[in-house]
Parts: sequence; C-alpha cells; structure tokens
Amino acid sequence: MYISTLRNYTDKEIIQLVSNPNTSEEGFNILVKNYQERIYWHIRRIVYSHDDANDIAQNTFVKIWQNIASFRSDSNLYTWIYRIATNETFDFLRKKKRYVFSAIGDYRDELKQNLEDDNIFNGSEIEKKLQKALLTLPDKQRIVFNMKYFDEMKYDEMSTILGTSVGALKASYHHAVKKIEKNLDED
Amino acid sequence: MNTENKIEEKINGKLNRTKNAGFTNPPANYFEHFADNLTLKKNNEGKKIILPFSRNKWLQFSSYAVAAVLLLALWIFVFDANIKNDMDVNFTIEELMAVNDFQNYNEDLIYSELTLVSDADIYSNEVDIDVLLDFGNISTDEIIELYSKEDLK
Repeated sequence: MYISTLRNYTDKEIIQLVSNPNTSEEGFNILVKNYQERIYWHIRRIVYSHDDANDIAQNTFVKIWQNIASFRSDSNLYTWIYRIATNETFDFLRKKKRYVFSAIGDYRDELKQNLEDDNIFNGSEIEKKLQKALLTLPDKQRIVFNMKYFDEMKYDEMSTILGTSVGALKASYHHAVKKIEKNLDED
Repeated sequence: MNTENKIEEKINGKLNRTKNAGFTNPPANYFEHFADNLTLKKNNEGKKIILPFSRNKWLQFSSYAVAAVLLLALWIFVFDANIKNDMDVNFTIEELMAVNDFQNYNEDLIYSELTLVSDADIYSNEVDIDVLLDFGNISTDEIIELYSKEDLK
C-alpha cells in the first residue's frame, strides 16, 4: 500500500513487481487499485446490481491473482484483465438465464425491475430510457455498446478483449446506436 | 461524419454521458476496502470444508445419486426449453452465409450496407448480429492459458 500512494505505475512496472516474490503482494495491490473502479463499472453496467457486480469483480481479481505469475509480460495487461472480467460477467449472465428462466421468466424482466429500484438506479429519466433501450439488445451487443459509448474504447482494443472481428463490432455498434436512437425518439 | 457518429451525437445531445450511467454509486469507501475484502477471499480460496456427512460413505454416495438425478431432470427441462426457444428463430443458410461475408467488409461497406436496412428490419436482423458477434465462447481458464508463458513453449 505504501508504494501505490507515491505515484502511478505503468502496467509493465506492475507486472515486474508482481513477478518478484518479494513484492508480489504489493504489486497486486497496485494492480487492483489501478483497475478496480474501471472493472467494477464495466461489470455493473451489465448486471445492474451492486452486489452482483461486487461478486463478479472479486472473482475476476482472485482469478488474476491466481494466474498472474504465468502471465506473459509481452501481452497487454489491460486487455487481459478486461477479457477475464467480461468472461466472468458472461458466465454470470448465462447462469442467471438458466435459474431465472424457470422461476420468474426472462432475466431481463428482473434487470428492468432493478431500474425502478432507487438503491440500484438513481439516474435521470433519459438515462433510464437509455438503459431500457439497451435491454432490448442482445447481451453481446449491450456489452459492445457500453464499451464503446461509456468506456470510449477503440474497436481494436474491443476486438482483442472480446475475441471478435473489428468489422463485426462496428456493425454491431452501428445497429445498437440506430436502435437506441429510435427508442429515445419514441414518446 | 458517418451515420454512426451523427446518431451518437444525437444521443449525446439528449443525455449527459457519465461513468456510472445513472446507476447508484457503490457504498462509501467501497473502493478503499475492495483490496482488503479481496485478500480475505484470496486466502480462503482453495480451503476445503469437511462436513459430517462426508465421513459416511453410503450417505455420501446416496447424496450424490440424488443430486445427479435432480441435475439430469433440470438439464432435460432447460434443454427442452432451449429447443423450443430455438424453434422460434427464423434463420436461413443464406442469412448465415451473408453474415460470414460480413466479416471481410471494411468500415465503409458495413455502413453503406447497414444504412440500407430499414428501421423495421433492424429488429429482425438482431439474430444475424448476434451470430456475427461470435465471442468464441471460451472459458476464463482458456483465456488465462492464451496469455500464459506456457503458451510460448
């Protein structure tokens, strides 16, 4: 904790710290401090509830901790962390779909209800409308929209994180913004 | 400025883009204590809890058998539901091929193609886009392996 308060560390420096058994704990704490907020919001905008986002974020960082020693230093730490977080979020959604399907109905109904809960969502009416419009999109498209629109990520970064082609991402984002525009124009 | 940017600008004009997108902030000091909570989880990971029933082999065996039957029943129920869901999708071979061709399009071609799609068709094309966005469906362990030093050997 002492080192992290002194200055900002680059990904390369963090990997070096984590790779050294004497500084691995400290290096990992710096990694968490650097990424926790971005990763938390990346997940939260997909699963809506703080508790779920917290669980997924914690699992993500535990997996990173367990495997950071074998991480190839020439790879991009940022895309690796995002890729694991995105995968963990997808796993969560897949499980949720299976459980909620039989009990209540579409899990999206549950997400829609969450938007009416003041403990989960306290944005403006237009922000709520945007989230409701996003819920009409397939999950993958929803993630693509969030990464491009809210995280302002580049297509090639998204392509590495999501393991899909830049062309597919552009097509998907284009479709998503068109649909959202239509939704926002209604009423 | 392409169509996408114009629409994005229009959306921006209607709402104020924020990091939390209207969702409530996490509890106060959440990020300060995030790493501490993580340490607890890290340390507990891998610990095995020995329950009294695990000492009795017969009890253990029958518990697993009951669990297996329940899982099978659940799987049949979910699988059946998925088949029913899939049957609702109208999807032709031609559409799938069109989707595959899409992969080789450059940005301009994609935009010119998509601007021809009517608003009504945007909804019916959803399945195509979902197929187009093939995320590879690999597990977190496989992702970790991809970035692992062992991969170089």
